[in-house]
Amino acid sequence: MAVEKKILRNVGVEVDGTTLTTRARSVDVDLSADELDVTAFGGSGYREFEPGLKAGTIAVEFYQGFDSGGVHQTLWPHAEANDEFEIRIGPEGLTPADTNPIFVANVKLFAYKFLQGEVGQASTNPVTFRLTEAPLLDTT
Amino acid sequence: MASLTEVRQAIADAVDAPDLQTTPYPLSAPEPPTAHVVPDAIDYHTSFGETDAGEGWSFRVQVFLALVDDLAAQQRADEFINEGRIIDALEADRTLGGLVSDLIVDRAEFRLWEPGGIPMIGVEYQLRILL
Repeated sequence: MAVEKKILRNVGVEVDGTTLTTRARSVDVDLSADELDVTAFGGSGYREFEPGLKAGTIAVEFYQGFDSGGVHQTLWPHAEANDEFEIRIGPEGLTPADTNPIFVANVKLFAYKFLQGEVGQASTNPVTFRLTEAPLLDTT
Repeated sequence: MASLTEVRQAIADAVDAPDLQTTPYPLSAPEPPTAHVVPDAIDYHTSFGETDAGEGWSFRVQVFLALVDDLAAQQRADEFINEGRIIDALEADRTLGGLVSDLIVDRAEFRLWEPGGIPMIGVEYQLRILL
């Protein structure tokens, strides 16, 4: 069997119940934790670190559009309200399975670009969501 | 999703200039004045989703004029850039009747061709389409 490798082509993206998969072109789900230096005297000569608080961040680059049920109509109300909503991201679509865990999290929207781009190019909207609590992985 | 056949036909229909015959398929021996549509490239997987999601297509529209009279042919070619702007015709309906998401004409180039050994002058338009 071939070594596990994956080419991203069908990442599922659902924002507040609206599927935006075909309007997205890149994702970055980052659950990095602060690195706390807990090095003490009498150690091995190497610094010791422990993970501290996590800051979950999801960056999605969308093609910007203003159609009904599209990127702007879905995200703009949240950009205005600063409210919390659910986001679901799946490596291979949005059908949960052991081999396709769906990342589910409550988030708030922080970075929203109404319009950006150059003349003659497709307009994109790089969006940043921040988790408000620990995420779940839905496999069923 | 629109088919390549539908899109090239819609592009040919959009090139609406007086006395100009248009065809969605390239002809080996075009009878000038005529225009035909040549698919250039298809970019797959420009967004997430199945293979038909977010495709980008590019086309060339080649307009041929007979070079029997040097001056008249070049003046007619000028018309395509001046008052009878083919770019305006191509971009008049950027969804091609709802077939595509958007369309843009990037460039026009003046060309000398010899299809079937007959010298012709013309203009080649390069356009991109987002499905």
